[in-house]
Amino acid sequence: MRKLLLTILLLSGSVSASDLPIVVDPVVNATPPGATVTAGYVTFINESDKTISITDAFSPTIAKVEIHLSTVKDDVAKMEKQDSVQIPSGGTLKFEHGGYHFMLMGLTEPLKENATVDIILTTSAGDILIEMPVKKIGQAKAMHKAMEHTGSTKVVH
Amino acid sequence: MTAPDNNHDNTDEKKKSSWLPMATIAVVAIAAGVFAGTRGSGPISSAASDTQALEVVQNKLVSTTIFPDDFKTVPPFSLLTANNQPITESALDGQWTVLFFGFTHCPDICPNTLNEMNGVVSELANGNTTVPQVMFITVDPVRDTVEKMTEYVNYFNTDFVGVSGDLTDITQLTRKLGIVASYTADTNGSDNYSVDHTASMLLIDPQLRVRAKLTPPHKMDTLVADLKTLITHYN
Ligand SMILES: [Cu+2]
Repeated sequence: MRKLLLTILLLSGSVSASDLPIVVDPVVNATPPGATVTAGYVTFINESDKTISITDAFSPTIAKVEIHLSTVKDDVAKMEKQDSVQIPSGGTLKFEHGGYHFMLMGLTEPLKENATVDIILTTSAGDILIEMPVKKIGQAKAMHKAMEHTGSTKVVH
Repeated sequence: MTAPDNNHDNTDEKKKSSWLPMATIAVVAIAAGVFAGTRGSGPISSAASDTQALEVVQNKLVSTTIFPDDFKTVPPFSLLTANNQPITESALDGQWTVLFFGFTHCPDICPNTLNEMNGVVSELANGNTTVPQVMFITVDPVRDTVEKMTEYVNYFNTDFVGVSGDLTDITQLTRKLGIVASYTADTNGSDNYSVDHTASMLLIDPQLRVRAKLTPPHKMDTLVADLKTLITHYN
């Protein structure tokens, strides 16, 4: 079950695996018909002693992937592209609803539940491939709740 | 099109979760603005007692700002809905409506709000509270055709009303309702622009009066509680 949720592949052979962030609960929102964009969420855990910067995102199947930050300020919702984001050493970085997200753009057909989207990240610790399962909107949240109940938050890679 | 938004503050990741307290502060500020000048000691006029009654309801609300009776009424409008049918303010006549604005190229906030609202209406229906109609009007009609809006809202709930129309007509409506929509140009000058827009939803009563502003973050549980409080209060 967990294997389905998190898969980390080391693409660049020169870096040691332990320096890469741990990737937890990746998910992409399934899209309503006609929508050409959607969001992907994930949590990164950095157990290394260095800050990890994520500087680029790319998918072989999606026209364009960017890292965005949603904010609501003075009651105005906005989205801004981020050139890079940092996962602090010994810390976590959450991509979640209302905050950071992968912005998947230029969809030509709806992303359906149970599909998978591959996203490849360029980070200061090496490249990471994340296999992101597509789920109905709101499922990611349900997943977190279930995790809280079982308390099974420990992740191994 | 509106001039590009200039409010770029390059929020860094340390501020990642700061939007929640910010929203809360905004609510408090607005509530204070609405009630300013009517507080204090002295003889209780009828206006003051109305205000006190409002404050009692306001204190029960979790994530909503209630407005005075004469705050604002939805102005006449002429837009388009499913099957290219005209829709006017009379669609709000005689029923409660949760009205909000967004666009389909919004991947995060808008779909989550629609999803929460789907949960809200079924929860309200189970609880025997009057179920408001849910209306989603695009602030990006150039890309969001009526067909697109209809398909989009129906994905969440087939009773939801998707609305598009002329940009000028929509802008007129948003201005009058105090809804912000500003277009952020993409650096490539392509079709990839985004629209910054008001995150709150408006609660409209069956006489088209704007009764309250449901403020973000939009969570099913608080929306259900606040809508119950408000609709019960006015029914
Ligand atoms: Cu985005």
